[in-house]
Amino acid sequence: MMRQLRAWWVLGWALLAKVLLFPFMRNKGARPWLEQLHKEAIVPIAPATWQLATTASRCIGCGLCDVVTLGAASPSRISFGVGRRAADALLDLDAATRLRARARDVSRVCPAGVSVEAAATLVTDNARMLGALD
Amino acid sequence: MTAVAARENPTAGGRAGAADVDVLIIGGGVNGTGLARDLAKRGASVLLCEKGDLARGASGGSSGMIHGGPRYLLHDVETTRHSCADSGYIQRIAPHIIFRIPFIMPVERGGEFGRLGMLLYDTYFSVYDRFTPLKNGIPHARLSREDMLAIEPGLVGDFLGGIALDEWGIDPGRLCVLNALDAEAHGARVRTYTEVVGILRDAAGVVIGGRLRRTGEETVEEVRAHAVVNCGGPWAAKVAGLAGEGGAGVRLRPGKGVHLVYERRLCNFGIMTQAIDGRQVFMMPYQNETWVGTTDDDYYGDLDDVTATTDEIRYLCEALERIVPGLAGQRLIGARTGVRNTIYGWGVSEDALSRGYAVVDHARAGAPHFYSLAGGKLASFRLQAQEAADTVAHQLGILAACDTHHHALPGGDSLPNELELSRAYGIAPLAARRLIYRHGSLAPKVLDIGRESSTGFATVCASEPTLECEVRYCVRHEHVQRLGDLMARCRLAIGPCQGSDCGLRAAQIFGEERGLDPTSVREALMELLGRRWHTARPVLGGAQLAQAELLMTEYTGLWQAPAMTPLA
Amino acid sequence: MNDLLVIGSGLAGVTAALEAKRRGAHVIMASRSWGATAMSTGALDIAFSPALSPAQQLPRTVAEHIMDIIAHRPRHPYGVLGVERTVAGLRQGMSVIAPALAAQDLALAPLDLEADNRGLPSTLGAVLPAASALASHWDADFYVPQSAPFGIVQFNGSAAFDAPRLAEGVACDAQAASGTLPQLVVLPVPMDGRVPAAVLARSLEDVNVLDELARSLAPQVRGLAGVLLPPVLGLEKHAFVWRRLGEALGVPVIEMLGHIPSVPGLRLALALEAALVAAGIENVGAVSAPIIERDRVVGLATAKGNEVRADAFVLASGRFIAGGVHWTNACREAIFDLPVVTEHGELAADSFESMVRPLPGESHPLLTAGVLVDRELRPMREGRPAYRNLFAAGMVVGGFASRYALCADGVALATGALAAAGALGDVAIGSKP
Repeated sequence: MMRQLRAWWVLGWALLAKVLLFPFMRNKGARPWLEQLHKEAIVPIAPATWQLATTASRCIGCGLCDVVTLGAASPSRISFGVGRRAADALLDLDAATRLRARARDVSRVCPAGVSVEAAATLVTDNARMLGALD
Repeated sequence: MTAVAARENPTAGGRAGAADVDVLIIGGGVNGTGLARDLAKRGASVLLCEKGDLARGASGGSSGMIHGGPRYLLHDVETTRHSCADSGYIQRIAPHIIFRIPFIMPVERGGEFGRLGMLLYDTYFSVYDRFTPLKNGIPHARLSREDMLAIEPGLVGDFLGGIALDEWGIDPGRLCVLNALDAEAHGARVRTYTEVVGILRDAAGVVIGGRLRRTGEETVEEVRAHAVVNCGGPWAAKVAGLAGEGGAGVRLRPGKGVHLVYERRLCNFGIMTQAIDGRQVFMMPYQNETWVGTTDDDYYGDLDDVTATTDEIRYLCEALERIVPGLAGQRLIGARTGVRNTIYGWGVSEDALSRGYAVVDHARAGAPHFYSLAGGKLASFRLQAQEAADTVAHQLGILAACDTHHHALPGGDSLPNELELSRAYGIAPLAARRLIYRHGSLAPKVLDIGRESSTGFATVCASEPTLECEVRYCVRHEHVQRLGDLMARCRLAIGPCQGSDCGLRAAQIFGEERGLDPTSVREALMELLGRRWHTARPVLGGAQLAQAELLMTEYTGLWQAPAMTPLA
Repeated sequence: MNDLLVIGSGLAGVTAALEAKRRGAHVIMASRSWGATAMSTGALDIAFSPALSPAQQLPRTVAEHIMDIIAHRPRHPYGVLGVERTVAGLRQGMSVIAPALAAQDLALAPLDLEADNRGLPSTLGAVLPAASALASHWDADFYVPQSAPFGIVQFNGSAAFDAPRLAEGVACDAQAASGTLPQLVVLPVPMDGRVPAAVLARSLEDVNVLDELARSLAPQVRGLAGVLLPPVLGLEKHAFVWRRLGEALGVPVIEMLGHIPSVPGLRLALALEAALVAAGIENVGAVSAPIIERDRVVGLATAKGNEVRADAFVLASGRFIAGGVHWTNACREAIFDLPVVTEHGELAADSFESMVRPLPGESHPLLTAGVLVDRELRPMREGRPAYRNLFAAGMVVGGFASRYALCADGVALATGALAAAGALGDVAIGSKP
């Protein structure tokens, strides 16, 4: 019971202070918060991610694209690998270029209809988000 | 019900008599492994028995959030402070497996508090901010609608604005494994797939040990212990019942929780919102996946077989798709389920209820030297273990204080540089990054195994990636009894591939390490696939159904052919 | 004017297209991409029925396996067609595909329905039953006792083809089936096996590299009944590579059945593609949005925005992998929105619980989903053929899965040939007069 009262006491005073001081306090908004996170490589994802991910994430790992490109672009490894986490995009910037170079081969064989363009764009867009504020 | 009761026990009897071990701990979740580590570090001899694999119960099904307990602030300021401090300790001892998860919480115009919502939440979190330095938190921010859309452009809704706050997440499987390994390093013994099927008591009713049985075997062995601690999680009431009436005092209200897993990390910021029944639900990034959770329903079913239902999945999808419509077309790869070990409300102190756990000393029920750690959250595991350890240590006459918050878990003492590691061993930078995440300073030790053979650095599971040397390392050093245990240790087969990409090779490696015959290798593969199937089955649709068909095709001819009986 | 449009260029679609061509029709193809055929292990799964019970006899010939399947799975395409039409369709399909592939230098082992399945070694570390296969996989049968040892090649550093593990698995299966334990000797070669299988296969098309492989194997093969290797003997030049190695070693050279990512599947897909080109069959790419007039399909829209028209259509678009059948809110066929059935009948539920079993190894109704067809292979809707001139072949047809009763290629061949015949107005094939 005492603990509950104490909690309400603390919260109550804080509310009062907020109400009284509110007109005098400038809201710093998102910027300082985002800047702090950016230092840890946590940034918003590229806006197109939601839409691109629907076609990029269909990969079922059948390896046909790897086989037909003789492993040069390793497309399925990109779909399963760096493509899945935006923060990893910087680790393999080359991935997007390699993918795009073999786009036609991949779309000729891919049973799942993975969009190479979508997968490649995801990597470059998110790499840009990571480097954007540097 | 607390440590006070324990002091009433005569210390002289606390460690007297012959015993195989000081403490027998039942349960290998975060409570059991955390307690084993604490007691082992204090010099007690410990045997931990887990009937399945580590983190198989509530711990493995948790969302992995080591939050500072913002909800506690409504009831109990001190608990909030302790909780945040402990979150800080966990970061200190496990810096490699912990990660920050920033959240945004939209405040809707038609929400609970109407237009006052922004003011109330802002106030609340500015109080909470007082504790955030304890856990390396970033003070919250009040966001305008524009701010929120900049952070998450996929948001739709009528928002007044929102609150930005950050929390921390951890890999619960790795956490339990690391706790167990550290306990062992201090002399404890850990036995998985070993169930405690009985509690031994002497003529006076004092608990003197337990009866153990290895899964799948008939023989029961007896172990004498000076103290027995029940860390059975959702099974704690059942385990307590092994001591007959002496087990009274542990009443649970198991709550089923479901998390949906999406194929990739679709966001870097978590989003909190309300479901149709007003409950808080969230979408959050988790390693290279996206999780949506969670439900909380009283569960009366089989604790050993919990499956997500279509209704639960729809409930969660609807809740998040309402404010993030982009989620609707995304690929689901699994539905994880777990059961919370929530303490039953009646008969428990308010203190225990507000913190969510209790250390029960069964001496009051006539079974001295038997304790239960009931309830609890992943976030406060270390505190819970400390309190339980204090109680047991008192009985044993051990004077050493808890120091689990001072020393790092295995691998947590320093973090290697991923590019250097990548170059030194010739592995992809992404592989290095993931290895460092899971093993921290021990990553070079894992990679050294790769040099033993020409296939050592080959990728086994592309979804992480998981390399062959890591599979071997986990099999050799991290208590792997079954192939499926690798899922919690190196994230093998948990990705979109469902094991079609990696299962066979992993089974071969496992077979080689353990000297298995081909039939057993195949059985191991089936065990792994079965484990993964359990989370994949409820969400089999869209691309995941094509994946399932591929899985069937991949291993055509290996599936155990049933007799072709006529269909009903 | 096009007589026939075939949708899908897997084994079923190409069989249908070539059969129609053989009958003098003007055929075009609408194929979006590769599908499950390209993941072939190299075996042709025609019919294999696991033993019914210890009391029953194990079927002894492929024909008996077919009859066993029909007896226990009436909704299986073999059951819908009946045994006579199934056999006729298989023979017809093989007679059209085998020469077409042979013309692309990819030989098929003959299909003898009066013989039993052979036990072919697989890179899964198992022995799998097959009624036929691409020729390079065919010359070993581990279902019969072996008198002489076999060699099994180990490429340096190859994680995917771990010869000692594979040998253990193959020997174990062979012993269970034949009663005797075969001897398998590991033959190490200094070639780098850490590259992907397709890269290794391409590198062996270089005569110098191939001859070096032969040189390192030759001293090790004396007295062996044969040499087993992973399927890496070339891609397009496979026939040449296989023949040359066989001549150099003087003992049978047998490629093991592959698994994903599959080189034999790649060879098959490339050869089928080339066969279509050789037959002058144009591919208009993906199609959608069927144009219907009364009870007939008249045409479809192509990806480029044109229309393609034909007198008759064969739907061979595959199942879940290839996207011919999909589950978004319900299970539907993708192009014509035809209703879908499983081997249990109508697919009523909209939830998975009843249609997907708890263990992956069980037989899941959902994974046998596809369109319901009549005896003429016309997809049905509400008890009648959906369209008079639409026929279906291959995995898009429902009522079967290929996991234990290995039959996907047999279904493709039989339904492909019969669907084409039916589409061109000949429904008599295999039927009694």
